[in-house]
Amino acid sequence: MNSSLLALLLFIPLVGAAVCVLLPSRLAKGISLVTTLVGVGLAVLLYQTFEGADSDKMQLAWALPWIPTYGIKFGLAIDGLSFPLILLTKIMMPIAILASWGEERRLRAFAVCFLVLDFAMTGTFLATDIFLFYVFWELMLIPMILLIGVWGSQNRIYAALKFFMFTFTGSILMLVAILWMFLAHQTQFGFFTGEIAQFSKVLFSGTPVFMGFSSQDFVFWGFTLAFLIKVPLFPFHTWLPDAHVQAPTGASVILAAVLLKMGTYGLMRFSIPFCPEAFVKFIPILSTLSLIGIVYGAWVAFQQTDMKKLVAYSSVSHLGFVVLGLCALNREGLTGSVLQVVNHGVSSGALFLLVGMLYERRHSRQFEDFGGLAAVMPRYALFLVFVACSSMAVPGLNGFVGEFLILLGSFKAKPMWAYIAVSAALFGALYLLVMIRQVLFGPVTSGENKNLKDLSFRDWASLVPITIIILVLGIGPNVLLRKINPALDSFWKNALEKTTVKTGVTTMNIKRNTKRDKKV
Amino acid sequence: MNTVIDNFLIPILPVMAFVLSALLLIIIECIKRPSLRPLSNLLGILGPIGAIAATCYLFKSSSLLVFSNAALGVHEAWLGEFINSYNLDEITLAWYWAIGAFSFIGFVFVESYFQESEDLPEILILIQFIAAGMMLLVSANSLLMVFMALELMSLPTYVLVGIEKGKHFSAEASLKYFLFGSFASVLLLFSIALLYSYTGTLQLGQISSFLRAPLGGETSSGILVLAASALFIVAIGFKIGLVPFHMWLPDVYVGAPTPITGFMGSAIKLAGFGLALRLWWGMLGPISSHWTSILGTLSVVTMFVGNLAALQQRNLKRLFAYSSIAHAGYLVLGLISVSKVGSVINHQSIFYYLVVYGFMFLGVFGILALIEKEFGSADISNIEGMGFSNPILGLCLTVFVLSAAGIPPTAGFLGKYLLFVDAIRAGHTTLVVLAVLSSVIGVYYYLRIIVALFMTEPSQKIVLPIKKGSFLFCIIACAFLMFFFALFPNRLGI
Repeated sequence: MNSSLLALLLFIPLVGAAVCVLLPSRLAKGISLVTTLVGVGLAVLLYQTFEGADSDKMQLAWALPWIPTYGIKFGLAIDGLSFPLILLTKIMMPIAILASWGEERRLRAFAVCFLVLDFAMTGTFLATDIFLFYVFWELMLIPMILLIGVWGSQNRIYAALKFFMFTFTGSILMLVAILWMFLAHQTQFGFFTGEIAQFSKVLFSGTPVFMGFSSQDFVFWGFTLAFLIKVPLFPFHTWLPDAHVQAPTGASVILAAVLLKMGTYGLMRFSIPFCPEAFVKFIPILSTLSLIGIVYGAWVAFQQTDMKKLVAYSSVSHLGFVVLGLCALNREGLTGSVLQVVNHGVSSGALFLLVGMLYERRHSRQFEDFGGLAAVMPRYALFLVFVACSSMAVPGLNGFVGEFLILLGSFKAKPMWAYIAVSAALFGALYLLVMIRQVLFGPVTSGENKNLKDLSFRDWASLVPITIIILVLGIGPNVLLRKINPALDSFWKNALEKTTVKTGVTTMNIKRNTKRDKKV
Repeated sequence: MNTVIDNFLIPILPVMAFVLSALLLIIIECIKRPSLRPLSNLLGILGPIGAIAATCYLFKSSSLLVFSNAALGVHEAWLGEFINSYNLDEITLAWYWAIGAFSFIGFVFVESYFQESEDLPEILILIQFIAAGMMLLVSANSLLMVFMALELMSLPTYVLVGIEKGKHFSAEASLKYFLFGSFASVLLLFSIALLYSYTGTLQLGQISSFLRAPLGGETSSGILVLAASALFIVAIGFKIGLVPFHMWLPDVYVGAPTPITGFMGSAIKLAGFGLALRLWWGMLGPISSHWTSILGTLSVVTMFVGNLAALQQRNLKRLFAYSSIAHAGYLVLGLISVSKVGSVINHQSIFYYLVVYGFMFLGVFGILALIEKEFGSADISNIEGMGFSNPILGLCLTVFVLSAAGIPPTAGFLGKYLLFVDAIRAGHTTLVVLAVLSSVIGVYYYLRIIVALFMTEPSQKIVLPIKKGSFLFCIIACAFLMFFFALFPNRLGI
C-alpha cells in the first residue's frame, strides 16, 4: 500500500475522469466530488505515512521506466517541500467542486476538466523526473484554459488566451534550461538522467558566455522566469486579475490556492538548488521586484471596487511576501515562505469562495451593489470577516505566523525590506477592511439584497473545513512544521553550503546569518 | 534464379506490393464494369497492407539478407547495378513502415472523400505509384535511383493535386506545383551532373569518400562541389518547403483535394526528409559543415515565416499549410543536428518527429475533409462549437492541435524535445532558443482553433455526418497514436 500510495493519489482523479466520460452527464458532479473526497482520504493517509520527523529524503518513491535511452523515468516521490502542497491540493479540490456546484452547462466536460487539473497538479508536485515535471506543468494549462474559456464570464476568451500565452512563454524558456541541464549532466557524469536531485550536482563554469553573463545565469533565468510568471511577481502579474475575474468560482479557488504555488515550489525545487550562486547574485533584483509587488499589489487592491479583482491583487501582494522570504536567505524567511504559501492558498481560496457565493446569489461583485449584508446574511458575514482576518494576518490565525516569520527573516537580512513590507501589510488590512465595510455594514441600500439567502448546507460544507485549517495553522503551525522541518533544514543547508563555497562577496552576508542562527 | 529472388525480389517486396496492386487496379479499370468497383477498392487497400506486411517480414529476416556482388554470375550484372543503387538497412525499413502506414490512412480518407467520384480508381492507382516512388526514394543509394524515384513520386502528385477538375483552385495548384516541382527536378539533375563530372560515380557512398579528401575552396573542383551541394539544397528545399523556396506550398496545399493534401503533408514530407537525410549525411557528410550555419539560419527563418504567416489565416487548410512550413523549419534544425557515428546515422529523433507529425497532419486533414464537404470550405468559423456538438471529432482535433503545438502530454512535445536535445548537443543552443520562441507564436494560432472548438458559441449547431466507420476509426487511431508514441517512444526506436 505504502509504495503505491503516491500512484493512487496521482491516478485516482484520472480514473474519476474516465468514469465521468462513460457515465451520464447528470452524475458527473457527484462522481467528481466523490473522487476528490477519496483524494482527501488518501491525503490523510499520506499525512500519517509521511515521516517528516525522521527523514529529509524523498519518500514513498515509485517509478516506471519511460525513455531509457535518455534516462527518463515516470518517477514519483514526496518530500517536505511537496508534502504541504499535496495536502493543500487535495483539500482544496472538493471545496472547489462544491463552489462550482451551481454550474449547469456542460457538466461532464466541467468535471473532467477539474479532475484532469487535479491529476496534473498532483503530478507536478510529485514528479521526481524533470521531464515528467515539465509534462505535468504544461498539461495543467489545458484544463485551466478550458475552465476559464468555456465556463468563464464575458471576457473569458481574452483572459484564457492571456493566461496561456504568459505561462507558456515562461515555461518554454524553462524547457531550454531543462535541456541545457540535461546535456550538462550528461557531459559531466557521462550518462543521461532525468532525476531532479541529480541536477543539483551539475557544476557550472563561471566564465561569461554572453554579455558578461555566465551560463548559470541563463539557466537560472530560464527556470526562474517561468516560475515568476506563475507566482506571479510584479511585472509579470498582469494575467492574474484577468484570469481570476473571468474564471468560474471553482477555477478561481484552484488558481489561487494551488496553481500560483507552483511558482514558489519551482523556485525552491529547481532555481535555487540548481543555480544557488546565480540566485544569490540576483537577490537584489528579485527582492526589489517582490517589494514592488507587495506594495503595488496592496495599493492596487485598495483601489478596486470589484471584490474578485481586489482578492486577485491581494494575491500579488501576498505572494510577493513569499519570494521576499526566500530572498532573505535565512531559516526564518524560508519557514515563513513555506507557511505563507499554504496560508495564502487557504485564505485566498476561501476569499474567492466567499465572493463566489455572493456572486451566485446576486450576480454582482461590485461594492456599490452591496451594503449591510451583515444584517441579511449574518453567518456569511461572520465567515467573511473571519477569512479576511486570516488574510490580513491577525495574530492567532494562520496568516500571522507566515507573515511574521517572513518579516523577521527579511529584517535580519536587510531591515529596509522589512520596513517596506510592513507598511504594505498595513495596506493589506486596509483594503480588506474597506471591502468588509462596504459590503457587510451600513444600511441595506438595494432592495434586491434584502432577500438574499444565508449560507446553505453546501456552503457550510466547504467553509467549515477551511475554518478549521485556518485555526489549526494559526494556533499550532507545528502540526505542519514538524513534518516539513527536516526537509527545510537540509534544503537550507545544501543551498547554503553551495553558495558559501563558491561565491565571493555575497556570501559574507550569509555567513554572518549562519553564525547568528547558530547562536539563536 | 535463387540469387535473383534473394537479392532482388525479396528486398524490394514492399515496393512491389504497391506496384503490383497498382497494375492489377489498372487491369480491372480497363474492364470497366461497375460491379468490379468494390473489388478495385479492396485491391487498392491491399497495396499498403501488403507493403506493411512485407516490411514486417523484412524486419524479421533482415539478418538473412546479404547483398553481395560476389555471388552473382556474369549474366546477372544488372542485379549488381541494382544492388549498388538500392539500400536496405534498418533506417529504410523504419521509413518503409511509416510510408505504408501513411498510405493506408491516406487510402481510407481518399476512398471516403471520393466515394461518389468516377475517378476513384485512378486516384488509388496514382497513390500506389507515389508510395512506390517514396519507398524507392528513401532507400536510394545512387543518384540515378534518386532521380527516378523522385520523378515517380512527383509526377502522379502533380496529377492528384489537380484531380478535382471542376475546381479552379485545384487546376491552378496543379500547374503551380508542376512548374515549381519540375524546376526543382532540373536543379537536382544539374547538381547530379556536376557531381558526376567531379567524381565519376553516382553511388552515394563513393561520392562521400571522394569528398572526404580536403576541399580546396578556391580550386575549381572545390567550387564545383560547393555549387553542386548548393543546388541540392535548393532542390530539396523546394520539395520540403524550406523558406525561401516555400512559395508554392500554401497554394498547393489549399488547392489540392483535402485528403490528398493530408497525404502530401505527411508521406511526401517524410520521403523528402528521408531523401535529405540520405543525401546530406550519406553523400555530402564530409562537406556538410560548410552549410550548417546557412541551413541553421534558414531553418529559423522558416519557422518564423511559417508561424507568423499562419497567425493571419482563417482558412484552416491554409493555416495548417503554413504550420507545415514552420514544422519543416524544426525538422531542418533536426537534420543539421543529426549525429553520425561511423556510417550509422542517428535518425531516430527526426524520424520520430516526422512520424508523429505525419499522423497528426493526416488526422487534421481527415477532419478538415469532412468539414469542407459539409460547408464548402474549411473556414475557422465552421468549427465553432464543434467540440461540444461533435465531441469525438472535436477532441481528436484538439489532440492533433496540441501535438502540433508541442504541448505535453502529446507525442508532438516529445518530438520537439528530442529534436532540441540533438540540436543543443550539436551546439546550436541559440537556434533552439529562437525555435522555442517561434513556437510560442505558433501556440497562439493553435489556441485559436481550441477557442473556436470549445469557447465560441456556434451560430448554428451542426453535426457532421460520418458515413464510414473506417474513416472515423482512422482519425481516432491517429489521435490515439499521439498519446501512444508519447508513452512508448521505444516503439519508434527512441
